[in-house]
Amino acid sequence: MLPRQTLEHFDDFLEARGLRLDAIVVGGSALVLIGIVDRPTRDVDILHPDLPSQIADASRAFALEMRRRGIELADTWLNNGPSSLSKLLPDGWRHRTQPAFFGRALVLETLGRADLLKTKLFALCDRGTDLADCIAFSPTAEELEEAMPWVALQDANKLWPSHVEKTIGDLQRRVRHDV
Amino acid sequence: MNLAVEPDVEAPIEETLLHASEVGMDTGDLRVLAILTTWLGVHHAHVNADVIVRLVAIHPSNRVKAYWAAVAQWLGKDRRLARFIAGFDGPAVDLLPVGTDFQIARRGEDERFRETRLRVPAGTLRDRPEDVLSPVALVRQHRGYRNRVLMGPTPRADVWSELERDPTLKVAEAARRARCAFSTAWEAAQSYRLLHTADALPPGRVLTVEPQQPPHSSRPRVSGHSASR
Repeated sequence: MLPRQTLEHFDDFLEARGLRLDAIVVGGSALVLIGIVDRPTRDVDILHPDLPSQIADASRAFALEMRRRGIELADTWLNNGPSSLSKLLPDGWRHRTQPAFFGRALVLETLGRADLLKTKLFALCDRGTDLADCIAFSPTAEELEEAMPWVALQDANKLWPSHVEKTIGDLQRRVRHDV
Repeated sequence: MNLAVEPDVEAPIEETLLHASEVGMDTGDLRVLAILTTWLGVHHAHVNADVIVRLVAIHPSNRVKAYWAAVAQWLGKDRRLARFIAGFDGPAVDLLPVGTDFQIARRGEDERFRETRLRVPAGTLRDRPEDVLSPVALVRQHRGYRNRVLMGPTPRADVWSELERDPTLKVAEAARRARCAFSTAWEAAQSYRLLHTADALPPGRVLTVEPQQPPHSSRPRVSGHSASR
């Protein structure tokens, strides 16, 4: 899925049905919308709010329409998968959001840069994926240093903090082109 | 692969697979590698093993070779891929640049790659069937794939696809594009043209082979007549 194009069509779809959604998006789609990466994504992860049933129904109907046009789009392309993340983010994250997509019926914000970076660093340390996204972020040494304590708290495994330090250290070398 | 973009219905299959493995193993794009791995799990029977083995053998990256060796070990029942294993004889390679030991201790190994040439923590390469097109969808969209389902993943199928794309294609060029010997392309082209000649005949029109001419003219002559004669 190409996030911006898909959301533009979905904006039309919602407007035609008299529906509206204001939400906070995270994940790969958020990075695409704010220009950090340029790649297809599988879905649009909504952090907040919980999607109302009308919007969830509309998103499934939209996916069906896309598939009829020959564009593969899963029914769950718009989802609340990461909603539990909102409880883990540093305090005040809601006041640091930034614009991501502004349509007539669909308005999306995403996390502020520092908060978004933290979520990506956590994904990198947790699964080993997202390295390309983290590199595309071009985080400064100061940003990585600021993020590390939060990431180090996200897992109770006693080896986790050391793993976080090594992983972020490797990222820093790659960003500085030392590797 | 199911990225919800306009599909490239003429994409060369093996070159695309190789490129994806390179992007995944050498530039660290594990999303692409995850989709590639899922795709191979679904579609490996329709991959032209001779072509992909040749492409990997001449690739400079040891990590790419390790990936394909691991795939061959995972898909061990597909004996066509066994040549990848011989093509990489080094120690097992860690998929992640850092943290493989930690992640494997924490989550275990990806079952597909357990005891293979590639150490992959569980959960690092997501395996989601919906990320790739089903065989039915691919048959509908990709000419080359469809012909491989019909005829097997062979040069004959690929020559056929090239001729369907351009019936005027010279045999030598079809052989080059299908990466096979001229003689193989020639035989496939003869079959292709025979079928399309037969299909082009109007109903009831029959071609007969006349009796043998005197020895000085040994080639039988073919004439056409309506079936009612």
